[in-house]
Amino acid sequence: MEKEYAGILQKLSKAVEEFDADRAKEAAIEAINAGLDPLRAIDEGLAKGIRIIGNLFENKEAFLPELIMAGEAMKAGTQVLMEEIRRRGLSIKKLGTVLIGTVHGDLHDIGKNIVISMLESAGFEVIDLGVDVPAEAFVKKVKEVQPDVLGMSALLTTTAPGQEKVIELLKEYGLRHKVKVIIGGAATSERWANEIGADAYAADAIEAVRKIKTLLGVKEG
Amino acid sequence: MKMNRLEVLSKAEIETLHGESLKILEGTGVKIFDPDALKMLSHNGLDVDFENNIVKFPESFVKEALKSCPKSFTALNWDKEKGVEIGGDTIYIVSGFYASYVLKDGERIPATTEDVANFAKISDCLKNIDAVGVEVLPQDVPAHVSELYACDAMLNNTVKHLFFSPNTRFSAKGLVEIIKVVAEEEDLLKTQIVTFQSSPTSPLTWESDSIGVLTESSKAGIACNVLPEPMAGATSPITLAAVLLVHNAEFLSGLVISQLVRKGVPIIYGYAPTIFDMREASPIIASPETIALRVAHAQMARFYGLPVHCIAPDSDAQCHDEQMAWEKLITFFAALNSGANILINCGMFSTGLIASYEQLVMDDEMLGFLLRVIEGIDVNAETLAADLIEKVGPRGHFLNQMHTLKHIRTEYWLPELSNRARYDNWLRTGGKDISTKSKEKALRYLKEHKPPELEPEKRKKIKEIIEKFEKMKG
Repeated sequence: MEKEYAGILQKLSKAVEEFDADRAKEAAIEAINAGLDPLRAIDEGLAKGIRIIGNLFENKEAFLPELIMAGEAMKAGTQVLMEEIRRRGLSIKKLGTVLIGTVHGDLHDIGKNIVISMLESAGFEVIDLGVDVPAEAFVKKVKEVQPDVLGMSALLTTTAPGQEKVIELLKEYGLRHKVKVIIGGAATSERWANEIGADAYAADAIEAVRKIKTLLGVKEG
Repeated sequence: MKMNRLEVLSKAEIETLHGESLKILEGTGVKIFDPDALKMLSHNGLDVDFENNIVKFPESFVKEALKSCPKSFTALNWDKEKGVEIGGDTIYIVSGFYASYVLKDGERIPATTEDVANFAKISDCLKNIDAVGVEVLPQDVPAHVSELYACDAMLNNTVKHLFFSPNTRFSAKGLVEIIKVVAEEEDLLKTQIVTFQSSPTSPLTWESDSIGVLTESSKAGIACNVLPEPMAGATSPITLAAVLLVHNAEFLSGLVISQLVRKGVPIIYGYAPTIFDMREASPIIASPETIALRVAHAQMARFYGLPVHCIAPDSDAQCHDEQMAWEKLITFFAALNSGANILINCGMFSTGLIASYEQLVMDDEMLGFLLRVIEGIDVNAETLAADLIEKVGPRGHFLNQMHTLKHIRTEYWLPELSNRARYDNWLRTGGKDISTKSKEKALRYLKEHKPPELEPEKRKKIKEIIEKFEKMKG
């Protein structure tokens, strides 16, 4: 039995590593039919694949489209397994909740969406506010859903001050200490993060996941 | 399509240069300081003035030589595993060539045999370098056998095809003996594991040793790069057209001689364009005029249908600065896109006097960049991806498409050293400039690379040959 499981877990991981959403789905169905714990199938199968590609990306051995497509393959497999989890009435433990959006005046969302995909693959719950999000809307949502982390993206130097505005507003409403703030996007930097009082800066999606894990004290898996 | 080749000569201008060259060869003739060569040429029916060492070459001999000289030849690595057909559109990159010094920590130090070995080892690792020339001539061994020591050091550190420009007939003989041992052949015509080079002395002269190298090379069946080096204003008239004319006449004389020594031996149309700086009184190899000359030269070679050599990438700068970068780039680009087959000088600068480990690595990186430039743009249904544009539609993106994945490793050049990281990431990984990174890479190669070794039997024979030649005077 365990040998069969190991084979299926390998298939799940490989499907993600080879960016193949169809094979990820097939392997997920095979896992369910074989009686493999769906939570284990995600963690030791699909997520293992994404970790491998993530490491390659960090070492400059994999490309961004590969990271994204691995994420999409993982998502396809996860959807099948999540249905089974719900059917069995199991609950999946989330690493945390991340509220995310592109700041006011900025319509760029490819980078933000990649971060979302990587966070979800890593086991976070993500609430996406979309693009061109006014500072007030960020703050209102923080108050409403009380996320662990707020992530803000800005591609343009002209819109980056929007990140500072959100942090100021959070302070005004007495919410700053209740949420960790991470920023990213081409117009931003470590220095900018320090300047505006953000908790972290991430240069890319993989780093965003790692920094958020650090902020929340989650051990690297 | 591929990027259009560069051209600076019209068809009529090329024909004029050819015609005027023939007139020089037949009218003025060429001085040759070698009694044996003169005898051989006279024996073959050429008009030889023994008193003045002048040989005149009628057009019929040039025509005959152009007919018998092959349009291409196969350059082999010395283990005979990999071969490249030199000619046509081939690009063959050679490290080298004969610098005297190595730049180490900003200081110019006389080159040693260990440096020769190190340069060969680094060249063995670099993927864009096809063949290995003597990067530096070692100064720590007796001068008359320094090329033999260099050859031994190279054979033990790279498996790639080797390039020599023997300084003397004596040295050429020694090298031929060594190469015969490595190739396990008496005749090297069918086993080109080494290429030689010989230069007439401009204007219109062959010294005894130069003709000796060309003769030894041709007898042994080794491909030879015939490389006139007229200096504008000094050893040729100052005008660029005249430089080309003197060059072409000298080359054709070498071609005829080689084909009379041995019909069918491969000859390369070589060129080391230099102008003469009249303020510094020194030759210059990366001036704008030499760019035009590089291009014109390749056009002349294509007119004759012969394999083309050109020196590149070159620089007259003395340190790794911006001048070096732009001169290396423009000379490299001109030579590559003129249609030259064999490009020699990776790793060298200072008008040919200094080489450095990091420059060799940087030239390899630059070459990757430029090879992609001249590759041009492929236009077909697959590359247009019209279907995909329709499928993704407005406001979508292409980062998650199989089409993107499929072409990601082939459509774009991927730098190994050039910085593309954003400021923060660049700083985090050390904030290093390219020459620092290149030097680190070179030192890593030296530490980690294990090149294939010659059999002990052959090593022993080579050692004996070197000893034998060392005892002779040279």
